[in-house]
This record gives sequence, structure tokens and C-alpha cells, in this order.
Amino acid sequence: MRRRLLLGISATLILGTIAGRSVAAQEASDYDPNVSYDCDRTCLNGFADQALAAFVAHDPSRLPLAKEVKYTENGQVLRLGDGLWGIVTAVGNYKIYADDPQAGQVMFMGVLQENGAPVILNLRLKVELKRITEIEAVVARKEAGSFARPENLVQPNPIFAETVAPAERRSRQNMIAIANSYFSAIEKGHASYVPFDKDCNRIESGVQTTNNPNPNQGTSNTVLGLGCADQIKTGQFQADSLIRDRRFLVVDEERGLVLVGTFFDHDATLRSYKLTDGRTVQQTRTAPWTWQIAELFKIKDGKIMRIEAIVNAVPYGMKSGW
Amino acid sequence: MHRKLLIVGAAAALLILGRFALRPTEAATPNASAAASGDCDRACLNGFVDNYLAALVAHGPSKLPLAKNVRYTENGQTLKLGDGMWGVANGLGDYKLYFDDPQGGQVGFMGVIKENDHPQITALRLKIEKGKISEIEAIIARSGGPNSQGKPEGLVDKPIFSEAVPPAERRSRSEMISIANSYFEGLNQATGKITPFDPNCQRIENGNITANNPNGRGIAKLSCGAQFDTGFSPFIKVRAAPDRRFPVVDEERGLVYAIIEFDHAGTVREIKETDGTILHVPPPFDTPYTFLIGELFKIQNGKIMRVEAVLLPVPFRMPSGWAK
Repeated sequence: MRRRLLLGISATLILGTIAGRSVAAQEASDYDPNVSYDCDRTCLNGFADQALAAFVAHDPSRLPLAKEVKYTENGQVLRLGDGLWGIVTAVGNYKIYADDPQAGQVMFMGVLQENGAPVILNLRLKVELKRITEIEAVVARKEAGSFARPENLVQPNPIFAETVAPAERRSRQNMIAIANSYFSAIEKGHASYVPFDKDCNRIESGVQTTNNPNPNQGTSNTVLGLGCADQIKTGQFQADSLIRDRRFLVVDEERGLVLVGTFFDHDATLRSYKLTDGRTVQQTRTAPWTWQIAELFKIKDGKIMRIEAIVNAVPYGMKSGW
Repeated sequence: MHRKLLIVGAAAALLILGRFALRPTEAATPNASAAASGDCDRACLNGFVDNYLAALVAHGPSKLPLAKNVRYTENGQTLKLGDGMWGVANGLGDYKLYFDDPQGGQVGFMGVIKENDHPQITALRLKIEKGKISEIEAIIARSGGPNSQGKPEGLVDKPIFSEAVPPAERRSRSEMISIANSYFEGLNQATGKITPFDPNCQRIENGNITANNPNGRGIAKLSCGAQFDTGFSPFIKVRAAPDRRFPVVDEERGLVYAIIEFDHAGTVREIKETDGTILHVPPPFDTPYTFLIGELFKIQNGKIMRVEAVLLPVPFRMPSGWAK
């Protein structure tokens, strides 16, 4: 303990408020009036970058971890060092960050290499007193049952990193309400009002799933060619029986970003349904299935401008672990 | 070479068994256990399965004699009865395999259940207490969707599973569990030396013959023991107790049903087989994922004669929902 305290104090002295180096901060009795315990955008992004570097180094021990840190990967509680930690070989150039200094949460979405193969990662960290208390990873791999196309993710849309002008910002609760309206409209195809910008676009696991210039993807279904609002209005989403366990994890007011973790359950009981244009769609999937989704919304002036998501096939009814 | 490993990997995933799930108290006090299970013999237990399946295709769980705290899992997820396959099952296939453990009050079933007319290979476990169903654990290897695995058309009746083992060739419950467990230990230790395989042992996984397949290629042609002898399995880690469970032991028929997870961390990139051959571990075993498996062993005269498994890929290290 003495050694640890000394280390902590010297680290604090040397590195000041650099993220993660105030080792003493975790001990309740170690409050140091000279240390800032706030973690702003730069600080939070620094934690995300440290975590990515630790993945590549296969070494979680280099991170400033809280004693009770919890790690999940695709909804499963793993020990730190397991799963992704064992096989990440590099971090790619595709990087989106969202920061919530008020809640102490940060999100990274991007492309990593696992044993040389590209995968898409959504990473969420919770940081308390400059220590990581929660790590949640959702990884989409190119594997059976997955439509992920990490190779499509070359350059993130710059809109995600743009600051929203103060007059065009919305409050945290309003941002959450806007993001929530998207899921409510999709659930059972209710097609209720969602404030989409007319140029709204969506990417899911590297695939452009709105306004796609090549919408049929080998089928007669052209729904991917429609915009965000028109797509919902068709009534295409009636087979989405339940959008469950919605968690609004990161709210970045300055950049207008909301990260949502959720599950799309399809109980497969609806075998056919009528679209709003009168056509009937036959459900081809026969078995219940669930998508685990991490979904990022860009909101400006009260409108959804962009949606970027990671989608994974998981056992029907699976929980997030949180 | 990749093909060889892929087949072996699938086989391994499909293979499974274990040791410590036997509740020592039940083993020690069969009379008390029988009383707890309401003296439900083989016919009674199979009746529970048949009633369950009839209720399932009628979408009517309320017709069943359910314990107050009945719990249902489907592919490791706790669901309310009525959800999941209960909403879509609308018929049964011809393939039906029962295994009964009157002493433990448990019964297992492997067969084909139709979901919206689509045949799916399913393994089912029911626990019966005082005439009521208290636990329901379904593993369904769905085909035609994400994580597709099943080949229901590959399932044909194998009389050996329903044949009674002559009393002289039976083994005790604990020995049977130990033998099944040695299968998993053989995989973990990458050796054929510790598992008592019959030379004709054959393995079926999701309707595919993955060991001793006369028409198979590569490793699928080898018998169970010869496959283990190659030392192919270092990229598989069979989870230990309490995840390694042996919930149904049918002494009369020599059957042990294990439920288990095979974890593939993706960190073993190269394997040196027993004969010195170096194998590079191919996809999908270079990424972390897990097989959830229901695996049935036929044991006669202390040898593993047949292995039949239902398995599906699930998120890495996903629990079954039942380990205590």
C-alpha cells in the first residue's frame, strides 16, 4: 500500500491530470486537492485511445482500471485479457468518437484488425475519478449470419466530428427522446413521427441501408434505396416485434450525438404483412432471431442527420449483460 | 488442410460430455430422489416429453403441468413460455430420440421440430418434480438464418440409442459420467489416450456424420478415437464444471446427455499434431466464439459407441443459463 501510494503520488505529481495517472484517486482517503477529477472530451478520448492501444498490446493491465471494472464483449461478461484482448493486431483509420463528460462516458466506433482480418468495433467506456469502471465492446465480424462489411468503412462522415452550433443544440432529454422515437417507429412498423432531416442516411455494419444506389442487393426488395423517413413509412418494419432494453449510453450535446445500445427481437410469428402501398410482403425467415445493436445518432437542430450502427446476430432474446 | 481442420472443428464442437454435474446427494439417496420426482419411470418421463411437444406445436404452454417456478431457456436465453419456438413451432419431424433418468427426474429428447414448417434440429431437457415440469432447456440448431448449422435431413433412426444394454455391460452412473467426461478431457488435452472409444464409434453433429463417415473426406473418415489421436484439438477449450453438466444419465440404455460449451479464443494459431504435422488454424477458429452443445453418448461395456450432438455457434463465452 505504501508503495502504491507513493507511486500514485509521484505519478500525479509528474503527470498532473493526464487521464488515468492519478493512481491514488481510487482510494477514498486519497483525495488530492491539486488534482482535477473532471474528464473532458480530450481526456475521455484519451481513455478510448489508451484502451485501443491496450487491445493491440494484449495488455489490459496498462490501463487505469477501477478495482471493480466490468468488461463485456457481445453481451458476455469476460475477464479482461480474454476475447478481443487476445487477438487484436491493429487499429484502423476509421474512427468516430462521442463524449459525454457529464456522465463520464465515451464511445469509439471504428475498424480493428483481429488476427489480420478487419472487424467493426463499438467500444464504450465509463470513466469515474479518472479510472475505467465499465468496458462494453460490440464486435461485428465477417462470419456466418453476419452481413458486416468492415472493408467498406474507409473514412467516417465528417459530420460526426462537427460541433453543433449552440442555437441548434438540444437538451440531453430531448436528444434521447429523438433517438427513442426512431426505435418506437420501427417497432412493429408503427411508422410514428420521427424527426428526420431530409438528407438523413444510415450505415449498418459498413452497409449503406438507406439511399443505397444499388438497393436490391440481389433481391427484389428495393427498400434500401429509400431515405430514412420513406423507408419507415413503407411499413417494412412490422416484423420487428420488439425493440428491447434500450439504453441511452452516451449523450454528446456539443456534437449532437447519442449512442444507444438495444436489441431488435423478431419473434417470426408475423408471416406476411401489408405495406402502406398495398403490397403484401411474405416473411421468409422462419425462426425467431435477435439483432444486438449499437447505434449512433447525429442530431442537429432537432433532426436526425445520420445514423451509424453495428448489428450482430445473437441468440433470440439475448441480454446485454448490463 | 483447411478443410480438414474445419471438419474437425465442427466435429469437436459437436462432440461433448462431462463429469461433475451428478448431484452426489441424489446419487447417494435414490429413494428420496425417486420420491422427489414422483416415481416417474421411463414411460412417464417420455410422456412428459410427448405432452410437451404437443403443447409446443399447439402454442399452448398453459396446458402443461408446470411447477410454479418453472424456468425455460432457449439457446441459453431465459424466455417466457410462449415466446421463441413456442410462437412458431407447428409440427414435428420423424426423428425422435429419448433418454430417461428416472432417478434424477430428468428426461432428454433429440429430434426435429418444425418452425413455420421449417425443420430444425432440437435437443430438449425437462426436469420433472412431483409430477410437474420445473426446468425446460432447449437447444435448437436453427438452419436458414443467422448462425445456420442444422442439416435435419441427415438425421435417420439409429436403433442403438434405444437398445437396452445387457446388465453385465452396464456401468454405474458415476462411471458413465466419468467416461463421457473423458471425451471432453481428451479434447482439452489433445489426446486419444484417455477416452475409451469403441473402434466403431461414430459421431453425428446436427445431422452430419463427423467421425467414422464411410463417405466422408479427411478427418471425418476417421473413427472417433483416431481423430483424437491426431491431436487436432488445441484450439478448443471445453468449459469446465459448473458449466460442464451431465443432467441425464440413462443407465439402462447406457446413455449420458451432457450440456457443454466449447470456447474458441482465436489465440491458438498453429497446431503441431501428434505426427508432427503443423496445421495453421483457419477461420472461423481464428476469432473468439463458442459452441453451445447438447451431446449424447452411448456407452456399452465401458466404451463410447456413438456420439450424437446438437450445437450452435453463440457469442464467445456465453453461459447456458443453468450453471450453478
